[in-house]
Amino acid sequence: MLSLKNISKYYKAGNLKTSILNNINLDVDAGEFVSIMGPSGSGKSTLLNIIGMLDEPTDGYHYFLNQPIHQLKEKQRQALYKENIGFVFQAYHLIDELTVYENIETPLLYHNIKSDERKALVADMLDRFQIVGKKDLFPSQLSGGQQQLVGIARALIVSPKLLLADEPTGNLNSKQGDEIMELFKKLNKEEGMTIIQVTHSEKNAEYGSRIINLLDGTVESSKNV
Amino acid sequence: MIKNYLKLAWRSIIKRKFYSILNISGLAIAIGCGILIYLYTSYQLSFDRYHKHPENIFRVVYELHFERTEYDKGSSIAAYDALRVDSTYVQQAAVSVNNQSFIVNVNGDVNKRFKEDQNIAFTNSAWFKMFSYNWLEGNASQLDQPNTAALTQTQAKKYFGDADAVGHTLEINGQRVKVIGVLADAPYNTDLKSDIYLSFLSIKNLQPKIEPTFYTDWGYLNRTNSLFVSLTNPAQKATVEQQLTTLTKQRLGAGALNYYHFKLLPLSDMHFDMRYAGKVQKPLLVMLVIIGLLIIIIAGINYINLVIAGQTRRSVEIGTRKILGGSTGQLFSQFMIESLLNVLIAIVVAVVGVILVLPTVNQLLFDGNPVHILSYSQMVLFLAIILVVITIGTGIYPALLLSRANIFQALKNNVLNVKAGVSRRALVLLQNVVAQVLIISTIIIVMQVRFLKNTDTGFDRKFVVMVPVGDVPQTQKDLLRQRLQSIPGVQSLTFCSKGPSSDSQRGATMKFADRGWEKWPARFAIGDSAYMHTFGLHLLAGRNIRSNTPIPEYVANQTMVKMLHLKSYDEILGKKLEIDGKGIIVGVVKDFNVRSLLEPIEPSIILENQYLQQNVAIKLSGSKSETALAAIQKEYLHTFPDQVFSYHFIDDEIADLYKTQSLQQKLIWMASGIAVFISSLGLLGLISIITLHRTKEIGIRKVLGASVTQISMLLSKDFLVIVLVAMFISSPVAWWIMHKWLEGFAYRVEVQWWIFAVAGVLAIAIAFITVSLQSVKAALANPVDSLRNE
Repeated sequence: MLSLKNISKYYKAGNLKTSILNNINLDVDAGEFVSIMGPSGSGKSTLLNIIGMLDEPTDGYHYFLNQPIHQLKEKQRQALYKENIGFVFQAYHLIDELTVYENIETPLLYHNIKSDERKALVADMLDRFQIVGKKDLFPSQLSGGQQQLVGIARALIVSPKLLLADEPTGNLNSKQGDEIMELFKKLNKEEGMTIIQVTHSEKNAEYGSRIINLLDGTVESSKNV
Repeated sequence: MIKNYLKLAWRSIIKRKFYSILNISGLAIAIGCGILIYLYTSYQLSFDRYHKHPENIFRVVYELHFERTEYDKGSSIAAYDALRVDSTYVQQAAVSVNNQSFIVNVNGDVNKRFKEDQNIAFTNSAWFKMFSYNWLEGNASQLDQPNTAALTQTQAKKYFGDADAVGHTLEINGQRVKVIGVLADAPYNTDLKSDIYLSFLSIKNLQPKIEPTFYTDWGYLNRTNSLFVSLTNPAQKATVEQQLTTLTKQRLGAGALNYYHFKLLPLSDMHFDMRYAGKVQKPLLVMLVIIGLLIIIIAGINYINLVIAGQTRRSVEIGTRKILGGSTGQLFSQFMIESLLNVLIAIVVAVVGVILVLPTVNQLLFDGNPVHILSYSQMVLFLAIILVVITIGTGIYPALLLSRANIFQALKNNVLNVKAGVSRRALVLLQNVVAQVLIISTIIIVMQVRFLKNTDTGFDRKFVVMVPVGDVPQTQKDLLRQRLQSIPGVQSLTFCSKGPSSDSQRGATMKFADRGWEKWPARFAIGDSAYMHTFGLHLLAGRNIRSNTPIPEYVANQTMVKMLHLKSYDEILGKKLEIDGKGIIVGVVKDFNVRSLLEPIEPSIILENQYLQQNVAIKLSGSKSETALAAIQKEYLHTFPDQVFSYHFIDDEIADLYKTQSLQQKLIWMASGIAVFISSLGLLGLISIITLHRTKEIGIRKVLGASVTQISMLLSKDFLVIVLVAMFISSPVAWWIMHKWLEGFAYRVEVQWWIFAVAGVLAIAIAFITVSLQSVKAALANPVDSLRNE
């Protein structure tokens, strides 16, 4: 599904070259649940952003669904991630002015899906995450765990092939965190959703099928759980 | 999708109440001003444009070339007769002898007696052919018979109630006049308005004293004679003017061409040409439109600044939306719709505001000439244009900036770091320059108007009341004088033509002693021997005039002595003067303002003219003037039982002279108040947003030991520098504008340096207070809170 070859990322400031990622090679197959770990500054978020096409590598080859991303134009890249990738953030990034229902509906609006179909899809999603009762509340009225649940529902509503999560439990307490991780595991096991998550927590990483450790921008270790 | 955007926009307006109120109220005030200015200017510009082919209609006016040129809108009946029959280019000519005052007895009933003041016109059917009036009953051709009248609807109702007016009679000056028609009330936007139209042929019967030369003399030019012509083609204006010159030469001789110059004034200029008694100066309208635009620009700048700065808080939202699949175009529309909604709300608020304040504005500013909304459809069109222009003008830049933001940057919460800083400063600078120019102008205009109203005019005008008596026999005047003098509280009284300081004083050129005709005219102050005493004029040499002397006696003013190049007052005393008649100069009076202070003091003489002394000016002692007035009214009606009593104070009359300046003063007051207020709103919004952006920095500085004062200064410094720079730019600009404005006055205040200093201090104080509101709050905040996140 995803293949990174010799990916490097560095910034130049004057003569000083700061390297973030250094010659990363990574292949992810459909149905995998990969956890990326590493200390602060090891480049794990940058790697996730590159995979999500939010950021571009300085060097290297990047294939997604057999398409050479490094050769695509901005527009094509956008179309590709819009259709296939869902994002979940540490800070949820729900839109404050929108209700739970509307937050989940927003991606459908951007995908030009008709009103009837939107209603059905959102209703399904609310059902599935058991948040029907909360659909008219605003994000500020929800707990962190509930907000993240909405964030995940929103990411999944357009049925992406790949779910990217940047520290999805970073702002949650351990009980809420466990619930989110269980949900991820279920999604992966039962629906075959491909997931790549970045995490600090050893425990959370264990939910995945593979753990990749980054250190100073290189893959230090990769092991299957 | 649009519905979704609107919902979102609405929620975001509600959620950020503080910024929304700043944003919308600033815009609404500016738009409200814009609407008011639009109403005023479009109303003024519509004057007399509704007649048929207004572009072909011209008023015959003349210039009188003496040492200074004088302008007059009047004309002569002889000119009317000549143009009526004698011109190939003149399609029609029409004349009206307007602003006549009579006492009208309805149906000859003495109990239904009305004093009609200046609202009666003598005219004929030609007038109604040229101008568009709506005849409800009767027709104009009947006005070609003597002793006939047409009334407006309101006037007919006043006289006859709901009964049909046509066929009834009015008794005017002992003559019976038949009502032959009723006209719809004239629209508001006309200067050609009378309530009673008497047939032209009635003049002979109603004003038997009028000289025969009134009809025949080319030079019998009267201000109340309004002569209009309609041409087959406006381009023939010059030809007809040439024709008038030829006619003047024929009738008055070649010598008269040095003095008399007849001109055609286009109907469209009549309302605006102040030389010919126009009502509004075009420059004032231009000034208003400029002020309106400036205010809208200031508010627009505010809006842009606030939106850009405020929306950066939505950085993450922008990023998230992009990740969820929103395209640049979609985000752009979202922001544009938000702008649209904001502007729409502002317009609604503004319209409601305008409807609420219009009566007050009319009363405060346009007393006697209120603004009327003439066309609601045009108004809606204007609002639609405003909506589109302001939405695009203020929405596009922020929308482009925000929708194009890079996702990655957006999610990191720095869509616009300092990028907008320079242009933002420039915008705030521009705002401040405009506001300060207006502040300086306000101070100077207020000083000038106060100066005009309070300057020593050389005569005593306090508690002088003017009562019109009309053309009555001398015996009755004497009787009235006796009766009035017995009233306690009446200090002195004089029968006169007008008080000093009036905008229309008669004047004439003269022959002094053995010299020839002078090139300049002297003004007349017409009154009896008590004139000087009543108005508190100071005699410098010789003696006062005496009444009813066989040879007329004159008192000249100092300027007259100067203009005659005489070295001492003795040289003028006892000398012959041929002017109104042939008389001698018996005294010299200290200079006083015969006309308004817009004009310098002119050579003037005080003289008697029984016929023109149709008013009595009464000097009251001041206290208990109410009782004195009641007593005066009683004695007046005792003497003239068939008259109607009316009066006015000279002080009010003088205030009327400076109406235009008063209006300018009020307008500039309001404009600068509003400009300063909107600028302050802008400052307030900006400083609060900047404070928000610098929360972390403020927290760190506090942890490092910065005091509240230091932090407030840190935040305020930038703005104070901008205000200072604005001072240096605005002072010369304002100086130049005011210098030009003051040139229009013969008597004017000095523009002194302290005015600029005051304006500067004011601007800094306002900015400082505004900025402090937020910066002190920020400086007092607990750093623990600001440093907790991130």
